[in-house]
Amino acid sequence: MVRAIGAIAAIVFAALFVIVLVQAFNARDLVVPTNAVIGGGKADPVSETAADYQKLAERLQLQRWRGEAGPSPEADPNALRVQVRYQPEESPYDRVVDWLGRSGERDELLQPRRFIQGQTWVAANPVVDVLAQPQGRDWRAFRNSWPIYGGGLFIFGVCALLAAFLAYRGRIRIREGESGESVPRFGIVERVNHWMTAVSFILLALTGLITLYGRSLLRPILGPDTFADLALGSAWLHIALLVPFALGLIIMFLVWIRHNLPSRLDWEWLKRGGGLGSDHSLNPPARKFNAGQKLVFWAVILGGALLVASGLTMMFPFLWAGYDGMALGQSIHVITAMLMIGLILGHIYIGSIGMEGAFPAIWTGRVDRNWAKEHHSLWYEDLLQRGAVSPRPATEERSAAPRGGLASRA
Amino acid sequence: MARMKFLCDAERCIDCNACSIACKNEHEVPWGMVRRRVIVLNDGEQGQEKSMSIACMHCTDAPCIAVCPVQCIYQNDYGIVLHDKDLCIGCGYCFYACPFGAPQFPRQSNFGSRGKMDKCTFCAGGPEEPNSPEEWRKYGRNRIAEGKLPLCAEMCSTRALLAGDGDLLVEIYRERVVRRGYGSGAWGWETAYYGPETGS
Repeated sequence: MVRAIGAIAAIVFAALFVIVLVQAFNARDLVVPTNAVIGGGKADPVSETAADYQKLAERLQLQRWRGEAGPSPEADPNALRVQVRYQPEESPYDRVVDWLGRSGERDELLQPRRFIQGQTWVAANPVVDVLAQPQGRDWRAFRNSWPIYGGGLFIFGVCALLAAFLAYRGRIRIREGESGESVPRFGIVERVNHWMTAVSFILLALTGLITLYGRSLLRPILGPDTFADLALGSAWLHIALLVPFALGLIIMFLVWIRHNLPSRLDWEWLKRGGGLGSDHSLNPPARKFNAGQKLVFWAVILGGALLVASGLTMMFPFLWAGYDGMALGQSIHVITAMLMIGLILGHIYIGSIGMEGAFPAIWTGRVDRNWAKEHHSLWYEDLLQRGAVSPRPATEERSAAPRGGLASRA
Repeated sequence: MARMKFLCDAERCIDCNACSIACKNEHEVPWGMVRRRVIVLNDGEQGQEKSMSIACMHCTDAPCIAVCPVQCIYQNDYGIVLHDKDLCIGCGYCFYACPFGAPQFPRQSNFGSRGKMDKCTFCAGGPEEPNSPEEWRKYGRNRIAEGKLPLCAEMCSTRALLAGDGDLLVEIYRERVVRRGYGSGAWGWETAYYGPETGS
C-alpha cells in the first residue's frame, strides 16, 4: 500500500520535474509594457494617442538651447536629423526588442557600462551616492533563471527520488518487530528545541517559496491584491522567524555537538550505505547519531548559519555589504535555502514514513528497544552499561508483547 | 513609438540641486528620501569634476519589474516605469536590482522592515485616476496626464537635464554637442535602455 502510494507520487513528481525543465528551456525573461499591474488591462489611463504624444513632443522643444539659434556652419546638418517613430500597432514584445536593439544607431552618444560612484549632498544615505551599478542587471538575470528553475527541478527531483525509494524499499521495518518496551532517547530540551527549529524552518521555507514562486504560481490564482497581502505577511513572518530559527540553531549546536564529531565508525557506516539498501543487511554500528544524522546536523548548522548571515546582509543594507554584497547575499540565500529544503525533505521522509519506529524518538523522546538496538547499537550498549536501561531477554518478551505496543510503555 | 527617457548633460550640470528640491516639493516626497539627486564625480579634482542628476531612468527591460516578487512595478507604453504602492511589500529586491539606486524606502533599517518603495514616476503618478487625491497622496503630481514633462527637466536652469521622447532628446543633445564641439555622452543610457539580454 505504502509502496504503491510511493510509486504514484514518484510518477507525479517526475512529471512536475519535466514540466519545470520544459519551462526552463522556453523561458523568456523580458519585461514588456503592460500599462498596469494587471497585465493588459488599462488600469492606468496614460494618454498615448498621437495627439497627446504630439503635445509632449512640442513641450520638449522648450528644453532646447536658448542661445543663438541654429547649428554651427561646419556641422553636418544630417547629423541632427533623427526620425521619430510612432508605431502604436507594434506588439509590446516587439516594441521592447526594438527599444533594446537600437543602441547601434547612436554609439557615439553612449558611455560604457560601468560602476560609477560619486558624492551627493541631498541625503545622508549611502544608496544615493551610487550613480550607476550595472551589475544589478546581472543579478536580475541570474535570479530569474538559475535559482527559479533550478530550485523547482531540485525540489521536485528530490521528491521524485524519495517517492521512488519508498516504492522500491517500502517502509524500513524494525527487523525484530517492536518489543513494546521503550528506552529514553531525547530529553525535553532536545525535543522542544528540535521542534522550534523545525517549525520555524518549515515556515521560513514556505514564506520564502511564496516570495520566489508566488508571482508566477499564486498571483494568477489569487489576484494581485490578495497575493500582495499574502506576500506582505510572508515577508514579515520570514523576517520575524529569524529569531526562533537562529536561537534553535545555537541551542542545537551546543546540545548536540559532542555527539556529532566525526569518527572512524562514520566511514564504515557510509561505506555500507547505512544499511538502507535492504532488510537483510545488518545496520552498521552507530553511537547516538549515525553518519547520516551527523551529515544532517552539520548541513543544518553550516547551512543555517549561511542563511542567517546572508539574510541579515539583505535586512540591513550597507551595514557591511554594498550592492554587490547584497546581490551575492540573495543568491547565496536562495541556493542554500534550496539545498536545505532538499535535505530536510529527506530528513522528514526518513524520520516519518520512511522508517518505522523513528518518529517517536523526537516526539515522545523514547524509542523502541529493538529499534535502538538495530539502528544505534553502540549507543544502546552504552545505555545498558550506564544502567539507564535494564537488560532483559528480548526474545521471550517480544513474543508476549503485541506489535505496536509502544503505548503500553508507561 | 514614443519612448520617454532622461538625459543629463554632464557638461552643463552645475550641481545646484534644484532638480532634487523641485521634485521633493512638487511631489511632497517624504523626509529622508530623494527621488532625484545630483551626484558629483571626482569631487575637487581639477578638470575632472562632473556633476550628474540621476533618478529612475525608466529602463527598457527594467530589472526592478523582472525581480519584483509581487509584480507591483510595471511599464506603460511610453516606457515609463511605475509602481503600485498598495501591492508593494517592501522586500527591497528592486533596490538590489536597480542600476541607478532609484527605489528608496521610508525606513532604512528598522529591523529589516522598509515600508512601501518610492521612486521617480517621470511625473506620471501611479495606477490611480490621474491627479486624483489618492494618486497625489501616494505618488505626487501627474504632469504627463496634463501634457507636461517632468518638472526637474522643465525647470533646469542650465538645460542640463532633459526629459522627453528619447529620439527628440538625442536630437537636441546631438545638436548641442555639434554646436559646442564636445560632450561626454549620455551617461547611463547603455545600462538603462540597451540591455544585454535582448530578446533572450
